[in-house]
Amino acid sequence: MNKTISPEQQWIRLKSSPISRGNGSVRHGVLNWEFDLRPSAIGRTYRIRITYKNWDFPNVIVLSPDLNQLAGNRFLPHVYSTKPVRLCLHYPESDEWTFEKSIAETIVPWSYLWLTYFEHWLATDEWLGGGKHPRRDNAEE
Amino acid sequence: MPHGHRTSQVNNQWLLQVHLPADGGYQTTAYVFPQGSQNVKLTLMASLPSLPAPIVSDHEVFLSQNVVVLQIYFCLTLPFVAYVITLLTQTTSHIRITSPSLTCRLSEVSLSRVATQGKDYMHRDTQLMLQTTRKKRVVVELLDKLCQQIEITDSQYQTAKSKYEAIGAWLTSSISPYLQKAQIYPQGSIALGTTNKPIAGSEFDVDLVCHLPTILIQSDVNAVKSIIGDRLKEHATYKKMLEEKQRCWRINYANEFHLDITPSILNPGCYQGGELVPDKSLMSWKPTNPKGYISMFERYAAITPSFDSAISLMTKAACDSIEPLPKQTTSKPILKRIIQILKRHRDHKFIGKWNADLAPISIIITTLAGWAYWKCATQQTHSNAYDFMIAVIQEMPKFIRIENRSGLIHFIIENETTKGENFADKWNSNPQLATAFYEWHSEALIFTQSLMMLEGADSFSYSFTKHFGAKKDDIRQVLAELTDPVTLARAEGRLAIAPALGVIVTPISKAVSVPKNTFFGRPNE
Repeated sequence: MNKTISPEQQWIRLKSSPISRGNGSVRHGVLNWEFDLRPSAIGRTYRIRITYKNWDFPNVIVLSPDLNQLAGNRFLPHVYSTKPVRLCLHYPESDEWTFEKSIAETIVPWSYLWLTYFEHWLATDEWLGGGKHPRRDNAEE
Repeated sequence: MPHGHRTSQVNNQWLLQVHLPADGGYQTTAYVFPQGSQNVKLTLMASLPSLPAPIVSDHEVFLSQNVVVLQIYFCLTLPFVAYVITLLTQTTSHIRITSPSLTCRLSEVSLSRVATQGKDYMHRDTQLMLQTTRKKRVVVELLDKLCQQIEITDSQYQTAKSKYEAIGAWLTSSISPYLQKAQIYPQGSIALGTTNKPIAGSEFDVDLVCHLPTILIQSDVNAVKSIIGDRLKEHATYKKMLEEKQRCWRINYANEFHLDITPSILNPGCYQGGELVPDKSLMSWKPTNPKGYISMFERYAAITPSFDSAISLMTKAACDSIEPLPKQTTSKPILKRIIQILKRHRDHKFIGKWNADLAPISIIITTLAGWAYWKCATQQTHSNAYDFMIAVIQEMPKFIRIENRSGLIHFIIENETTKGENFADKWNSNPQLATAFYEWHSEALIFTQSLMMLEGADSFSYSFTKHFGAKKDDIRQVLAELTDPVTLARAEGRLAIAPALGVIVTPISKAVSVPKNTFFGRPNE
C-alpha cells in the first residue's frame, strides 16, 4: 500500500519538477508553493500559489492576472471561489487525487490544462474541458 | 552594406542606433514596456542636427500587458547614414526593437547582454527561444486556419465554375463567328487562389475574361463589348441577371457571387501572348495578360522557401525537451496565405471609411507580394515560416519603382508579363493612392509583427476581430485547431506538459504527463 506524501516531500517534488519552477516553503506543516505557469506557447503567464497540509485537499489559487477582470461580467467556470480565484481541478469523491499522490504530477499539470481551457473559454464562451458541477441544490450558498 | 540597430540605456535615455541601408526608406518598430500605467512620453531625436528627423507614425497601438508599439519611419536623402536616435522616456522598463530581417542579429545582441548577467539567465534564454519558436509556429497555424475561414469554399468555387462554363457554352453556340471562337476563363484572385469572402455582404467577385481571338485591334471597343452583351441578352435567365458595367458585363447570382465578364482580344504587339482589354474610357484597348500573369504567379508560389533551423539546433543541444517538428507548411502555398492576410487587412481598414476609394488594389498587393516572396525565398534564409512571412511583407514596398520625371515622382509597378501595363498608373494622377498604400502597408506590418507580442488565446481572438474583421464563428474554428487536439490527446491519455511549451499532445522526454481528472466546481451560469 502507498504511503501518504508529506508536505515536505511534496515540496521536494514541486521544486525538482521542470514544470513548476518557483519558490516556496513548508512552515508548521503547511506547504506554500508559488510558480509561474504558461499553459501554451501563445498563453499568458499566470502566477499560481499552491497551499497544502496533511489530510486536506491542495488549494490552488491564481494570484495574477485577475481572472475575474479577464472574464468581464461572466461567471468563471469550475472554481471554488472567485476572490481569490480557487481552481476546482478534480472530482473530490473520486481517487483522482489522494494523499498518496504527488501534487507536482497531478495538481500542477491539471492547472496547466485548466488555464488552457480557460483561455479558450475567454475567447469563445465555450468550456471544452468537461467536468462536473455540484448539483444545483448543493451549490446554493 | 550591413545594416542593423541596437539599443542601450544610459540614465533613463534609450539610445537606438539605426544603421540604414541605401534603398531610400526604412522602417523599424519599437516595443516599449512602460512601468505601471503612466502614460509614456517618447521623444525621438537624431543625434546630429544635420540629419533629417525620423517620422513616427501617429498610431500607437496599445496591446495587452501595457505594450506601446511605435512605428518609426526614416526617409533618407543620403545614400547611407548611421542614425543615432535618442528615445527619451521616464517610465520605461525596457525597450525591444525588432526588424524582421534582423531577427537573428538581434537575438545575438540580447544573448550577449544576457550572458553577462549570470549563468541562470542562459537557461532562461534557451527556454524563451524554445517558447518563441513554438509561438511563431502556432501563430502561423492560426493565420492559416483563419485564411481557411475567410476564403471561398470548394463547393462555392465549383458552383461558380459550373456557372461560368455554362455561360461559355452559351456564348460559343452563338451564330456570331467571333463568339464561336470565344474562350471564357477566370482571372484575378479566383484564378490565383487568393479569393476572400467579402467582409460586408455575401457575394464574391468572379472575374472572367471572354477572349475573342479573331477580332482585330482596329475594332471598336464598344462594338466588341456589345457582341457579348447582345448574346447574353438572348438568354432568358441571363437577361434578367445581367448588369452592364463600365468595362464588363456582370451576371448576378444573388447572395452567392457575381460573374464579371470582360472582353479581350489578342495583342499583336506582345511577344508574351498578351491580350488587350477595353480601357476605362472605352475609347481604346489597353494591354494586359491574365493567363501569363497567372502562370508567372504560380511559378513564384511554387518556390519553397528554405528555413534554416540553426536556432532550433542550438536549443536542441541546450535542452532535450524539444519535440521533433517537421518543417512547417501551410494548407495552401504560403505566398497565397500572405496575400489573403494582406487583402483582408486592407478590406477591414478601408471598408465603409471616407477613404474607401483609396484602398490599394489587389493586383498591386499580389504583384508586390509575389516579387518580395521570390526574393525572400531565393536570396535569404529565415528560421521559420513566421519570420519568412514578415520578411516578405517587409520587402514589398522595395519593389515599387520610383522615377523622377522632370521633377515629378512617378510610381511604377509593372506587369512583367506584358509591355505597357503599370498597375500603379493611377498613383501618378492621384498621389493620395500612394500615400494610402504606404500607410496601409505599415499598419499591416505592425499587425502581423505585433501578433508575437500577444499573450493569451483570447488576446489573439481580440486582435483577429479588431484588425481582421474575424467573426465569432471564425474565432471558434480557429481556436478549435489548438484546443481540439488537446481534448483528444486527453481522452487518449497522451497529454503532457513540457517546460517552456506548456500543454503538448505528443509526450516527449522531460515532459510531465497529465493524469485523468474531472474539473469540478460551481455551475457556470
